[in-house]
Amino acid sequence: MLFNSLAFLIFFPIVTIGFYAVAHRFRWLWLLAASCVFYMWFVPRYILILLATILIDYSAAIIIERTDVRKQRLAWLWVSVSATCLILFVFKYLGFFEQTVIDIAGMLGMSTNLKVAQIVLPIGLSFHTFQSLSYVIEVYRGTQKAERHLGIYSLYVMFYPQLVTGPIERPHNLLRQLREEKRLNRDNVAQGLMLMVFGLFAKMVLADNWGAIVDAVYAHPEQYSSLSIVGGLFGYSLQIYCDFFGYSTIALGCAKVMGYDITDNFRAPYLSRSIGEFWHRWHISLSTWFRDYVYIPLGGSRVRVSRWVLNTMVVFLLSGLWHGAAWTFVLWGGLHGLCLVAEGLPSRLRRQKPAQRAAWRIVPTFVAVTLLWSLFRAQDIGQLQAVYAAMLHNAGVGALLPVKGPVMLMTLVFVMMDIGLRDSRFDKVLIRRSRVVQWAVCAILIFCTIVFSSVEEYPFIYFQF
Amino acid sequence: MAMIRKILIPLIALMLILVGSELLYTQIFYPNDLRQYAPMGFFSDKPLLQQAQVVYLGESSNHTFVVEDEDRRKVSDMVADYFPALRCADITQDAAHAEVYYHLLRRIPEEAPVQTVVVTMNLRSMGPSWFDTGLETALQKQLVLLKDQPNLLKRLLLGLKAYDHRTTEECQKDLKEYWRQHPLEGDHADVLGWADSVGGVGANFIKKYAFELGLEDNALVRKFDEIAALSKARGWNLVFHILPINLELSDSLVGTELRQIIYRNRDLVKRHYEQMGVTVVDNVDLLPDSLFLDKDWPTEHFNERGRRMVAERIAQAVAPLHAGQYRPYESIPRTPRYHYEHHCEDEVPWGGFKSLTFEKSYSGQRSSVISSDDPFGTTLELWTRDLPKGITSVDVGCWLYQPSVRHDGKLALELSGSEHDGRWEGKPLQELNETTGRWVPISYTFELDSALYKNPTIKIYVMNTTPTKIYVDDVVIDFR
Repeated sequence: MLFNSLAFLIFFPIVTIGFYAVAHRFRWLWLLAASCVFYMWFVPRYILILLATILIDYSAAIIIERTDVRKQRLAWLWVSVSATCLILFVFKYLGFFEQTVIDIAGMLGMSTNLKVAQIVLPIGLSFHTFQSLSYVIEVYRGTQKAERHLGIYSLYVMFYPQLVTGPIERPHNLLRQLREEKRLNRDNVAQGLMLMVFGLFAKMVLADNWGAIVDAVYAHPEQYSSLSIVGGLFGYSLQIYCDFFGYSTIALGCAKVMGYDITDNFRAPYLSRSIGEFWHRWHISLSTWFRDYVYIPLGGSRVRVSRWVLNTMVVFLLSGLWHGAAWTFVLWGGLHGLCLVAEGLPSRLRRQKPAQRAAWRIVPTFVAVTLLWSLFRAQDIGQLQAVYAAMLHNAGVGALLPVKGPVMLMTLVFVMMDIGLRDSRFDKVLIRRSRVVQWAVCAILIFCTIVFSSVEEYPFIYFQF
Repeated sequence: MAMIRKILIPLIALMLILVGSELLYTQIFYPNDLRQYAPMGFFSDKPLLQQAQVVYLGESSNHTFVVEDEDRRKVSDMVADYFPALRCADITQDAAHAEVYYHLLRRIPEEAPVQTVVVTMNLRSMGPSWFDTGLETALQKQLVLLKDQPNLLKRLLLGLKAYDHRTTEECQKDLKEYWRQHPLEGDHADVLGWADSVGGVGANFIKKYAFELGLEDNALVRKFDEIAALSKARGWNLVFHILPINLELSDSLVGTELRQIIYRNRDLVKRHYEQMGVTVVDNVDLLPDSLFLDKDWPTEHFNERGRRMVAERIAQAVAPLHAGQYRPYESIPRTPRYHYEHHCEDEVPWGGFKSLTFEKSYSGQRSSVISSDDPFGTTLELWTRDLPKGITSVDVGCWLYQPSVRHDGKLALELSGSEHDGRWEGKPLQELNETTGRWVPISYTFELDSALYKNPTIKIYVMNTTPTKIYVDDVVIDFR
C-alpha cells in the first residue's frame, strides 16, 4: 500500500483507532494483521518471503542465545546471515550476477547457456533483511535478548510504517517499544499528523513534480540546453531527497501517532560541509547499520591508513550494491567512498583531527553529491554519457527546463524550511507554537498538497531497493 | 460547557477551513485543472456547447485522419450541414464511452437551449476487451474531475490516483477471468479458444465483439440507461447512434457466427432503448469493408464516404425532431475559397487538432501548442483541385508566442501526395520575429507556381521538434 493513496487514507485511521481501542495485550496482533494487509496490498505472495526471513532469524537468535560455545554461536550466526542474505541474493542480485557472468564471458569470447532470471523484486526486501540481520547480530553480541514471542518479533520486522522503505530499525529501539503500553496522547497524535502532512507535501508536491521534469531531461538530454540539464541534475537531488525524506517522515508520523518513536533518517543532508557529514545526515539508519555491522568489525578507523582506506571503500561499495543491482550503483558507492577517503586522508597522514569545515563548503559538497546522484538516476552508463555530452555541447541552444511557477515557489518554501529546521524536526518545532499557528501551517500544507500534487504516478524511489 | 467549547471550536474552525479551501480552489485553480486534466469537461463548459441546440457526443469514429478524403470534417459537422439554422456542437474524445458522456451531459446547465442529444453507441465498448485495457485509464482519470463531488475532494482523489489504473498485466488477467466466467452460447463457448483457432485480425474481431450482452449486469448499458433517464428529465430528444461494424471483413475472417452474436446484442439494446422512447439509429451493417479505414484491427473509423453515409442516417433520424430545419444533401453549397482562418478553437477543416491547448491563447480560450511532444501544429490541408485556378502565392499570418528562441520552429508549406517531386519549404520562426515572452504577429508569403496543381494536396502548418513549447493562434491564410 502506498502512503499517498486513497487506500492508505482509509487504512490509517482504521488501524490507529483500532490500535487504541483494543487492549494492550492484543495490540501486537492488531498491528501485525494491519502490517500484513499493508504489505500484501502490493504482491500478496511475497509475504511468504518475509515469513521465511522472520522464521530463520527468530529461530537462529533463540539458538544463539541458548548456546554457550562461542564457535557454535558464530556458526549459527553465519547460518542465519547466510540464509537471510541468500533470499536477498536470489530476489535482488541473481539477475545482475548472471548478466555480469554473461557479459564477462562475452568479453572473453566465450559462449554461455546462462539465462538472466526475470524475478520481480519484493518491495522493501533490502530494508527488512537488514532490520532482521541487525537483530540476530545484536543477539549474538549479547546486547539484545532473543525475543521469544514470535508475534512481537514478526511485528518488529513487519511494523507497517517502516516496513517497505525504512528507517532500518534496531531491536533495542523498536522491539522494546513494541512491548510498552502506549496511551493516547494529544501531543503524540498532533506531532504524528504534522509529520505525515509534511511528508505527504514533500512527496506528492515536490518529489513527484520534479520527477516529471527530471524524467523529461534524462529521456532526451540532447534536446535541452546545458543550463537546463544542470537544472535537471539538481532537480533530481531535490526529487530523491523529497521522495525519501517524504516517505520516511510519513513513516515517522504514522508511528508517532501510536506513540512509537522510530529513528530519524534525515537531518538536512544538503547542508553538509563534507561527504562524510553528508552520510551522517542522509539515510542515517543505513549509514549507522553499515558503521556498526561492517565498518567497525573490519577495524573501523583505528587502523593503518591503508586499512582504513580499504574499510571505507568496502563499506561504500557494499552500500552502492545495497541500493541496486547495477554497476552504476556500485560506481556511485565507490565514488562516495573515494570522496570520503580524499577528505580524510590529509588529516590522517598528518595524524591530526580533521579541522572544522567552513560554511562555504556546503556548496561544493552539494554539487559533488548532485553529480554523483546522476549515476544513481541514470538507467545505464550510456544514458549518463548522453546527459553529460549534452550538458557540455548545448551551451546556448536547446530547450529550457519545463518547470512551473507554483513548483518553484513550493521548492523555495521547502528549501527555506529545511535550512530553518537544520538539526531539528518539523513537528518538534511546530508543537511549541500556539494551536492557531499549528492549524494554520497544517491547513496551508494540506491545501498545497491537494492543489499542487502531481497527477502522474511516481512510486517511491527507494521501493526498488 | 468547557467540554462542548473544546469540541465545538475546533469543529467550527475545521468547517471554515474546508469551506474556505473549497472556495479558493474552485475560484482560482479548478478551471485550470479542468483544462489540463479533463479537457472534455472544459469543452462542455464552453459557450459554444452550452448554446447549442443539437449536441453530438462521439469518439474517434467522429473524425478522420486520411489524406485522401476530400472533406475531412467530422461526422458531427456533416450532420450539421443538414440543419443550417440549428446551432450544432460536438464533444469528441478518443475512446470515450457512455460513462464519460453521462458525466458530460450532467454538466450542461438546466437553462441551456439543448433540444437534441446524439450519443454514439459503440457495441465494442460494451464488451470486456474495452474496459480491461489501458485505454480506460486515461478516461477514468478525466472522470475523477467530472464527477458530482466537491472540487477540492476531486483534486485530492486525482492526486491520490484514486481511479481505476490497472497495469496491462492486471487488465489481461481480468480479461481472461471474464472470458472464463462468461462462456458463449453455441459452438464457441470458449472465446479465447475460438480466437486462437482463427488467429490474426479475425482473432481480434472475436475478442472485441464475441460476448453476450446482459442488460442487467453491463456497466455501459446502465450508463446509457442513466443518459436516457437524464434526457427524459431534461426534456431532450435523445438519439443513440449504433456505430457501423466491418461485418464484411469479419465474415471473411471469422465466418458469419460472429455476425449473429453482434446482431443479437444490437437487437437487445435497440429493443431496450426504443421501449424507453429513445430514437435508435442502427448503422451496424450500413457500411461495406471498402469504407472502413483500418484493415488490420477492428475499429469504427470510416473514410469520407462512410462518414457521409453515417451522417445522413443520423440527420434523417434527427429531422423529425426538428420539423422544417432539414435540407437534403444536394442543396448543401460547395464553392472554392481564397480565404481561410483558424482561431484554434474548434473549427474545421484543419488538421493538428490534438495540438490545441488551453495553456495559452491570443484570443478565445485556446491556441495550438507545438513541441517535440506534438511537433505539428494546427494544419490547413486541402486538395489543390479545390483551390481557385491561377494561384501564384499564399500569404500566411498568425500570432506567435515563444518563451525563448531555443527551438527549431518553422512555418511550413508542403505540396505532396503524388508521384511528382512535391515541395517542402520551411521558414524559421526566429527570422520572422525574435520577440519572446509575449504574443507577436508574424506573416510570410510563399510563392507558388503551376506545379501547385500537379500535387494533389497542400498543407500549411507550424512545426517544431524541440521540447520548447511554442504557441500559435489566429492563423489567417490567403491564396492570391
